[in-house]
Amino acid sequence: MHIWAVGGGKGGTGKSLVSNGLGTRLAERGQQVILVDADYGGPNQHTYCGIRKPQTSLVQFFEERMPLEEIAQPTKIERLRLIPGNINSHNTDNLTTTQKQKLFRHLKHLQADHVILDLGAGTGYDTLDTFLQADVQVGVIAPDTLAIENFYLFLKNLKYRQLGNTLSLLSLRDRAKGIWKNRAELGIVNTKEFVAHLRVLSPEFSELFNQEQKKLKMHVVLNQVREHRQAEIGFAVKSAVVKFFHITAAYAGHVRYDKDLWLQFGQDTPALQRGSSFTLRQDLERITEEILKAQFPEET
Amino acid sequence: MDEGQCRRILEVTEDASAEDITQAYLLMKRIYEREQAIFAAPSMDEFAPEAREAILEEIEAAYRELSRLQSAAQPRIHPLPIILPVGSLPSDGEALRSFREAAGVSLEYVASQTHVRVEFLSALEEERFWDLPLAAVNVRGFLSAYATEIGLPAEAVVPPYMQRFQQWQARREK
Ligand SMILES: Nc1ncnc2c1ncn2[C@@H]1O[C@H](COP(=O)(O)OP(=O)(O)OP(=O)(O)O)[C@@H](O)[C@H]1O
Ligand SMILES: [Mg+2]
Repeated sequence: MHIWAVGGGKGGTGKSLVSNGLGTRLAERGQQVILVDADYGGPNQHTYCGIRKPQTSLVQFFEERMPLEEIAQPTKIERLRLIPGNINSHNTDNLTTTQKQKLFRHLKHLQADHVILDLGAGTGYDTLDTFLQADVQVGVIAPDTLAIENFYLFLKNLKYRQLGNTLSLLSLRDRAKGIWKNRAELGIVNTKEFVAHLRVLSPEFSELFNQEQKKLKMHVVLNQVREHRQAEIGFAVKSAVVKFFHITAAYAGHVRYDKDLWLQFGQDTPALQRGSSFTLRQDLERITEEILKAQFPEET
Repeated sequence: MDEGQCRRILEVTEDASAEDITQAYLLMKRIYEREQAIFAAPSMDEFAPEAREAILEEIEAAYRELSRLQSAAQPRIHPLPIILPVGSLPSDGEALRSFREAAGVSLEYVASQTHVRVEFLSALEEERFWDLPLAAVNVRGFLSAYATEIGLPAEAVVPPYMQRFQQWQARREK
């Protein structure tokens, strides 16, 4: 079973649309898929699925310990099920880290070929951790500087988080903090040198951090492409991810802007069902195929 | 820099063709030569001008190296061992074929480089004029490309051959 996480930092770039497209396509390919609305602060995956009033949601998991298998409900697309987010709860984003980690542990035991997590915007620790733990990592951007800037911030936070998590695992956090505080005396000017220092200090850290870094492989998706010359931006961003941030990445392709998408909501049918949203379906299908066959170059 | 590294820098896969590599290189240059690009975040240290310049240099070096490896892998025509006096240059089909074979070049290879079909090339070598195009200008073009490809000076080889071709044509028209 593969866990997919769809994130990217900025709000409104199309994470939910892309999650839905990936899920739909994989299900159409004959795979058992479960979409999980992991955007605790602003769930809307059920609306993409054309489900007006989900009967159960993650609320039942968190508050009543209902098994996820029972919460996962069929959609109008065969083999595609949905675990909806907390829609009717008063305060939707007040879950603790422990609760969110428990959810992730339970997700691993779902009966499905693919579990796709539609993550919320922002760079909260839980979002970052979920993204880092996923088997397939998808970053969604839009062709504007704001979305791209936030995406880079998301990446930087992922890297810091990897560093922090590795240090915690080895109980080196306090020691590392001390080093960072005294960095001027130690002649450390940036994070890169800080990490180099830590590597020398602890070979164990070095090894574990390498392993951690290998787990981050970003598939970049460029959504909301309105004109031809924007298409190159996706490739440029992917390239920058590799060259400036030294993160393994592959470009999955772009999704064109569909001016009629808004008309697909609020009905009892999935937004991307056959016979509608033709360009979106086409582009999301291509992207799914690209992600499935993507090959990442071996790091040296 | 080994080939794998070069390909990684140009962000192409291992099976990318020479054409793909050139395309990727041009795209990379387009991306990184622009000082103010939409994909850049000038507020971040990562995007310092020096970093961008270092990347551009790397891209150039990788492409140069891949091009060098590429041309080194091409089958080579043996250079002429001595400069032949004009009088002894091969000019009939038989002599041309011997020269080509001595140089170790196959007709298929010549065909792939000149875009002249193998059937025409072998007709040229066997002086089967009737299997060649009717227009002398085409025959001249084929022969000239063929001669250049196997390392012979076309201006010396073509005229005597064409003379025979045209004599044959004149005879046939009678
Ligand atoms: N390719 C597209 N064509 C047309 N409209 C789009 C496209 N992608 C997204 N939208 C619209 O943009 C809005 C944001 O999309 P979506 O909800 O998928 O983004 P998101 O990244 O999940 O947002 P959030 O951060 O709020 O979770 C929605 O109204 C959606 O209908
Ligand atoms: Mg969303």
